[in-house]
Amino acid sequence: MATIPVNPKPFLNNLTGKPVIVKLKWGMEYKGYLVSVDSYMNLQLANTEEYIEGQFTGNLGEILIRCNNVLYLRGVPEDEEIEDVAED
Amino acid sequence: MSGTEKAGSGTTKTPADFLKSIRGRPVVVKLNSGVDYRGILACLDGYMNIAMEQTEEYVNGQLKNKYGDAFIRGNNVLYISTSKRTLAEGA
Repeated sequence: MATIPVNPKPFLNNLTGKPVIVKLKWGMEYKGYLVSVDSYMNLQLANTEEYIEGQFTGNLGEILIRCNNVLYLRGVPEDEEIEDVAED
Repeated sequence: MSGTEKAGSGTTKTPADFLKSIRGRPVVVKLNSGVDYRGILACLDGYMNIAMEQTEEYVNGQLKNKYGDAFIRGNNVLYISTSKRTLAEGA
């Protein structure tokens, strides 16, 4: 699998339904299940948790993140602890 | 919420479908500046311009203003959330 090139859109589509962490340009992180994406890469997340400076700050439920705010998105193994994010 | 909407359901959904589904519902809109607006989502367009009713403005979790109607220009929007628990919480 690692040797097969993956383009950005298939990468995103493969992540739908899976837990992800989205980091915004302003530093906040949102952890949740990626429900859908569109051509702008607006992101819809479910069961979303907000982390500021690595600290959990609240449950937001279902949210839509406007595309211009996104710095990156990454997949999260189910058992990954959020402390790993603070190490970024 | 609207149940599990994972890829396995076979339904193609987009963020725009989510936005259509939350019209008329209480929402929290967070702006780039960190200010939260909480109210009833009346209308929105493809730029994510938003019209809200019964709007309350929260700065650092403190209620600062109330507006019967509010219009938010889409470029300022960081996220839109439907969580009722957020409506009950301070920040």
